[in-house]
Amino acid sequence: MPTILAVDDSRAVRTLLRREVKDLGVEVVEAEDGLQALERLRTSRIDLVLLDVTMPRMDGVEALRAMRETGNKTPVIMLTSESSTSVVDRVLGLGVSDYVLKPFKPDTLKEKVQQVLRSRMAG
Amino acid sequence: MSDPHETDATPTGAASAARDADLVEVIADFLDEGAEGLARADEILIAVEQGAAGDDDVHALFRVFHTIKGVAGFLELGDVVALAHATEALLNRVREGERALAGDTFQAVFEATGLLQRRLEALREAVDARADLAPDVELPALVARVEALIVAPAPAAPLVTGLAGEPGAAPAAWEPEPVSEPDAGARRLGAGLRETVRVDVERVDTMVEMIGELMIVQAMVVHSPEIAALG
Repeated sequence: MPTILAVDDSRAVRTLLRREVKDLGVEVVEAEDGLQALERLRTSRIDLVLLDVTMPRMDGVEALRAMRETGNKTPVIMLTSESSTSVVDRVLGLGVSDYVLKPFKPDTLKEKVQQVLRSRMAG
Repeated sequence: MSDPHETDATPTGAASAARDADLVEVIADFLDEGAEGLARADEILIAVEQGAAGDDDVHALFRVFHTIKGVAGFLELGDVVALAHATEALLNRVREGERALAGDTFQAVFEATGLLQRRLEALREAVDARADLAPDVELPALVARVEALIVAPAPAAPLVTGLAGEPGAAPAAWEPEPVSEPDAGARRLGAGLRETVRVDVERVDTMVEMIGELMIVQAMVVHSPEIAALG
C-alpha cells in the first residue's frame, strides 16, 4: 500500500487531506512542519509528499530544498494558497510533480495524487 | 476501490455539515486551531504594543490568518475567508516592510482578531445547535477598512495617519485605479480610493481560483525545460 506524507501545520487541513485520499487505498502519515517532514522521510518509506508552503520552523520550500540536497527524490505535490508565481519560482528546478491550490475542490487533489502514484508505480 | 457513497456530491456550508463525520472533525479542528491561533495573535499584538515583538512574531501573526483563511475556504465560510484574507494581505505588507504594524494598521489587525474570535464562537454555537450561521453585520465594513489599508499608497494615505514608525513609501508595483468622483461610500472609508461593485462571492471565488491556476500553469510553462530549450 503506497504511503503518503501529508505536511501542513493545520490539523484541520491534514484531516482534509486524509479525507480526500482515503478511498485511494493509501496509508497517510502526517507532519506538522518541514522539520518533522524530513524526519518522517528519513525513518519511513514514503511514496508521495503533499507539502504545504507556509509553515512555522521550516516552510515547504526549505523542506523541499533540503530533501533534494540530500538526494531524496520522492515525488512532491506542493499545496499552496498563494496564487502567484512566487512559489513556482522558488521551487524551480527542485523537481515538483504538481501544484494544488488551496482550498482545493473535491477530486482535484485526488486526481493529481492518483496520477503521481500511477506513474511512480509504473516507473 | 472508489466509494460509491461519495459525500461530496452535496456540498454544504460548515454549519450544516454535521452529516459528514470527517467534516465535523475538520470543523472541530478548525475551531480549536482558530481559537488557539487567535489567542496567540492577541499575545503578539500585546507584545507589539509594548514594542517587544520581532520579525518572527509578525510572521507568526501572518500564519494565524493564513491558516484560518485556508481552512475556512474548504468550509465555504466566505465571510471568514474575506476577513482573514484581507488581514493576511495587510500583514504581508507589514512583513515586506511597506507598512508598520502601528496606528490604523495595528487597529485593523486587532479588530480583525477580535471579530474572528467572535465569528468562530458563533460557528461553534451554530454547529452545536445544528443551526445556520447568521451573518455578522460588522464584518463587511471591517473587510472594507482592511482592504482600503492594503491599497492605500503609504506616502499620501490619509488612512494611515499618525504612524510615527511608518516606513517610507516603497512604491507599489501597481497603482490603485483613480476614482473620478469620490462617492459617499468612498468618503466613509476615509479617502476616495476606489469604487466598489457587488459581485456574487462564488463568482469571485471561481475567478480568483482560475487566475491562480492560470498563473501557476503559466509559470510552469515558462519554466519548463522544453520551452527553455527552444529559447
